[in-house]
Amino acid sequence: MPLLAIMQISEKGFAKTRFLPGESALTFRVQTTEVRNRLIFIVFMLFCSTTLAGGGGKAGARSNALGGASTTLSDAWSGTNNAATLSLVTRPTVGVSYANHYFLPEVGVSSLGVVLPAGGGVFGASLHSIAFEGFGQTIVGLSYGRLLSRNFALGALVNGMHIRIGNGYGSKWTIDAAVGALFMPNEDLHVGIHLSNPTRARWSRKSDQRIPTQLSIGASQVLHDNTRFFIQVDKELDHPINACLGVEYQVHRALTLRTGASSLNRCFSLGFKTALRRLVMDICSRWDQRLGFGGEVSFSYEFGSRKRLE
Amino acid sequence: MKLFLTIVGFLVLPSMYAQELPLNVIRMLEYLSENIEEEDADYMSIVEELERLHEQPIHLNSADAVALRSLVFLDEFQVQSILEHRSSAGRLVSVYELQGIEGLDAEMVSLMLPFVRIDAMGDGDITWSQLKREGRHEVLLRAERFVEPQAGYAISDGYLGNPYRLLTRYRFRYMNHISTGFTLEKDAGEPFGGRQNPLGFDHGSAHLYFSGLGKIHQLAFGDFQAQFGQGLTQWMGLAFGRSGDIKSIKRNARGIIPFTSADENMYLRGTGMTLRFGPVDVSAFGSHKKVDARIHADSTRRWIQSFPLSGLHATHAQRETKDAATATVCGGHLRYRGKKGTEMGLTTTFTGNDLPLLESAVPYKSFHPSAPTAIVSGIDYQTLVRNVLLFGESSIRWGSGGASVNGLLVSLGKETGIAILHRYYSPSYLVPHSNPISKSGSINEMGTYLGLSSRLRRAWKFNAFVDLFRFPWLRYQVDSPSEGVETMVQIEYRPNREWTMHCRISLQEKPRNFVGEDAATNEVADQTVYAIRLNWESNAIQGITLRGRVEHKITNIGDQQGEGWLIYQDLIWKPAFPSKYTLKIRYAMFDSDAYDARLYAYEHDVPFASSIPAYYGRGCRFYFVANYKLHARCTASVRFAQTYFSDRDVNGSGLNEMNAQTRTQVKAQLHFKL
Repeated sequence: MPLLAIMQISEKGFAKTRFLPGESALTFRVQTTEVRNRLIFIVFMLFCSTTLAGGGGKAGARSNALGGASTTLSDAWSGTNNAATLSLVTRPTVGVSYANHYFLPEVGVSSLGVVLPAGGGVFGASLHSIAFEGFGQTIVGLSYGRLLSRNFALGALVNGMHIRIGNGYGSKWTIDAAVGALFMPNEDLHVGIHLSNPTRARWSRKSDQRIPTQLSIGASQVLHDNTRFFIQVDKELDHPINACLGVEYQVHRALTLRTGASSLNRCFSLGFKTALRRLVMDICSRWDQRLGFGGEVSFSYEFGSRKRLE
Repeated sequence: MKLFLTIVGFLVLPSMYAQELPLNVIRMLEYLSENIEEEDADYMSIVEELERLHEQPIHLNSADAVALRSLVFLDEFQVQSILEHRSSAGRLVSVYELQGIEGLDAEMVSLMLPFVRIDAMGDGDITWSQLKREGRHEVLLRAERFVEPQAGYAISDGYLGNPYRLLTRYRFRYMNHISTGFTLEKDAGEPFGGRQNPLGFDHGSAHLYFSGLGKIHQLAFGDFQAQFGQGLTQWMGLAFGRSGDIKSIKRNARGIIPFTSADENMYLRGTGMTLRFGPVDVSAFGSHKKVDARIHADSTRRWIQSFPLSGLHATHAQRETKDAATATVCGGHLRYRGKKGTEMGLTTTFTGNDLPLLESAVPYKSFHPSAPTAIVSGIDYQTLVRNVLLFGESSIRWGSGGASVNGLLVSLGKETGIAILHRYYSPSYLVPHSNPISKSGSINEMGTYLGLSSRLRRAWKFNAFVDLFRFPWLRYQVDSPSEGVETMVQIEYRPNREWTMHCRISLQEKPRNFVGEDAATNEVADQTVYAIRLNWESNAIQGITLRGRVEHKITNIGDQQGEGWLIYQDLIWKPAFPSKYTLKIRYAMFDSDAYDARLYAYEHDVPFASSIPAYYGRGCRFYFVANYKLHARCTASVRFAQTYFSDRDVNGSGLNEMNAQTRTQVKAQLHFKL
């Protein structure tokens, strides 16, 4: 029941924010503890459908800078975004990321991503965590991706998910999974498909406290040598369809600019990447039309020698 | 147990072989059939005919226009071009010569190649040794059921039988000359054996059919279908409707054909024959069979209230309608086939029932004739004048009303075509076996269709149509004369052989009864349906076809609005020859908040079956179809399909209600070819 209660509050919260058109989210000031908690719940629910949605998540500052068009991205967060894209990672990579949304420290998400190319494929591990006094959620994921032919890869992710709710409600573990595919008809065009929680795992069999089931289909196309265009549609079982667009423009070898937008959350994002040898920093800033600003910073480091897997 | 023994019995049969239709042909069939929007349209006959041609291709040097028209993707210009090329340039020496024929582009030739060949093997007299060598026996066994318990099986006055649907079919074919076989079917819920159904299967059908034997062009005994002209007077079997594919507005009748599908109503039982005397064909047919009918009776008399067409006999009420009336149908057709595609035909049919029809006081049936017999005559024509093909049919039901459909197809070069069709079906033209191009049946409708198909540039193709229709009298659930419009624009982009994308926008305004919030009575309002679809397909990866779609639909009537979304991704895994298996998977998400905003999409099924289900409500759907070649002559197929509804705990209604969020169907099939 606790999650159900949260959802009801959050629905009220959405209605309230929607009916305050004159008030900008930037100037939206939390007046009382009650309203503050409610807002935290709203934001938490947003995370549940995006960042912390098990395998349906969009992790890393790069993904969020591109409006969430993440199914074809190959980086330290591939295990969460689309495990099939792990197969394109050629070096052991470690990434850490912190996302803060709407200037509320309680809903900051910390993430860790590890990618390890091995002989028979590429393995990934991920950790996402959100925690404050009354609530905590941790997702530990293990993923595997492999090229089955020159232009086709498959991947899978298994998540162990833990949720803790304060005030004596207790905590619970559950497991869900995600599968992904990546098609590369040519060097410039990649098509990614990511299906999270196809088995419709729930927090509890007794109630309808579901973990989101989401189908994402996306493509990326290199338009010129230094520009890449991303497009994606997501459909979560209980939410309207979400369209994402993103563009990545490499200005210099050490600087890449990114922008993106997504329709469901009405988000617009800007970001950039800068690299110092093997250390890459991605920064993203998001503007949510209803809730205001958010930001994310990710660092990743590539180790060892390049290993191409066939 | 009986089924098990039957399956085991067939497993020990000698081995057979099987082939599957090429993917581009399946795609073309999907395209044509998606406009039908019927959950259980009867594709078996058309798929089966193409499968037969795939195995026993048409001989290009001896085929006549009728044989070439059985390749449903060819239009009349292309058929005539091939015939003309043959008469002017002589016999074709290679199938690749087809590309040089006017009107045939590379895409069309690649569609044709699996179904045509040049050598003349198999022509001429039929001998026993040929029959034994080239004749093909085919056996199909299929079982399917829903996994979740349905309400109708738990109550005493519900379904009488078990939840399995069983189909058994045997067929022997020799080229297109001889066909014989039987079909036995039991629908879900129908009793199998026992007191209720001592014969076992609820429905049975059998035929013996000869074709191309000297003057006897077609000869059918048992169950058969008859189709002539443009379908206005007599047409049984599947026919495609108005679509962006402009050639589909012209019907290509096949005369008397064997009936092999599991439909329980749309066939004739008796005998039919077509004799060919040079350019003249003479057909005659007669049928006498029991039909399903809902009977209204008083103490002295009985009337036919309606003819149920579902073929379901699973409850006491449905079993009462089974074979409750007897229908006699006979008719004749005279056809003259002139040069250069000019044809004329004259058709007359008589249909009589053993019981009179119940006169209905419902206003929309005011003009329906009540006579128990119907005599219908029609005259049809087609002629090719330069690049214009004119065709049509005009019919009259004697003592009642008339109807006429006339159209023209203009070919403006290889890549561009225009189609115009006008139809008028009077409110009293109630004909038992007709199926012309229409919005809603062959009665009470007039309309004009304008279609355009053009290849703008090499990679871009444009299709569009506008159909204006008017219903001069009331219709079911439309309480006044009414009118509407349907338009569709589709742009297809094919940058290379490996990728195809299309975007389709359609808009429909159709009249319907509507009850406003404070209104006491119905008013007739226009329902607006807008839909946009983005579809993509790729064969860029050897052995794998990827196909996906996003579709959005909005409906408006009065102050009520509905919205629907469908997004799916297909993966078809067909390893290169000589693979033993194919695997087809779909994962779909759908979200529609009103029944009118439901979306339809073609689904892959086991061979010889296909379905176009409605995606309604909110949830996801998954299916896979796996075909595995157990042996060179035996293919096993399995299909698992599950819909999960997140917006309801109970799905289905009435006796089909399931107390679950899921709806799961499993299907297994064995197909032998000897």
